[in-house]
Amino acid sequence: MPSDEHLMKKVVKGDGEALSVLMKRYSNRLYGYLFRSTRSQQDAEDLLQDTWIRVATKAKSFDPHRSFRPWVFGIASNLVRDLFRRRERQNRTLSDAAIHSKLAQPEPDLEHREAEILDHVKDLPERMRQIVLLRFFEGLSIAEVAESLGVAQGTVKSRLHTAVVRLRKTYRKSPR
Amino acid sequence: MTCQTIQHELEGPSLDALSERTVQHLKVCTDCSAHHQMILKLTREAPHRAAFILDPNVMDRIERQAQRALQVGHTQEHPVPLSTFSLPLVLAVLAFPLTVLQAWGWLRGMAFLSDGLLPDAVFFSIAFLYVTSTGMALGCLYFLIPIAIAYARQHRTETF
Repeated sequence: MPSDEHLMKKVVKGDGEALSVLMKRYSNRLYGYLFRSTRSQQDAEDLLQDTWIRVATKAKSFDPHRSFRPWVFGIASNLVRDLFRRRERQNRTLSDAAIHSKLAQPEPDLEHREAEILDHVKDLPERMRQIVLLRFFEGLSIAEVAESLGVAQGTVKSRLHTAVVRLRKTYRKSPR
Repeated sequence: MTCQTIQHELEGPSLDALSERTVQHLKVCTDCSAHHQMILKLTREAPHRAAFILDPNVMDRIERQAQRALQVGHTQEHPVPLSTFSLPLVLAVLAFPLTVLQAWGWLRGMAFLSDGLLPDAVFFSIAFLYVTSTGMALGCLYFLIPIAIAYARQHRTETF
């Protein structure tokens, strides 16, 4: 199975098949990340489309010596950040029921837990929320999160620590 | 080992392989123990295993858009023909000598025409204003060149 980086080399040359393979590998995970970040199905779909268009148009700026995963999540997180900036004063929320309905292969206990944790995570400041989502929900390493967000690893560690401490406090106050 | 060190270790990749010292510390420190529980909740209960599946129709639409963007980007990547930027380049190179030549001709003509009509002070003031404004305009032109190049580069290779 060709590596992501190998496929990206082909994408740079205009290989649509390689792009399709990458899309199949990452679209659902990216969609999950975008949905959890925006809590809006429409926004998540729009941002997913923008993410892949950027991958297609900016493929040349990808460094094949680096990993594809943090790069593509970095594009997605930049788009989320741009969206939040545009809607800074809007507080778009989606009910837990909507989150439940988007979970594939429903597993009641897991759905409930995910929604419960997301309910707490959504109260974090945006820069911390992104780190928590990438680290714990998408399983990226600290180094990959740092690369995705374009910040130092120390910054990620520090924000992650603060985020976990805050989550502990909110759980203690209201274990929803 | 401080509590902060322990907690950073818990947030790292070695959650499944905690050192013996950390395990012992967790047994006696309620703060670190609560931190540990929170991390476990985030890593094992929340997580990435609950996958989201995108609607196949939406996926098809997104893929079509991405493929189109790839094709458009690929067809537009041919090098820019020399003829498209050769004229601006030549003008930029000639701007300075042309301006000096023009200023010299303008001042000579003005001196010839106004000889004896204008007091020297007025003549030199006008000449000074002209040279200063021309110099500033020329300076702005050359100052903008690196900015224009940087702008073009940024849009060509955007980094994320």
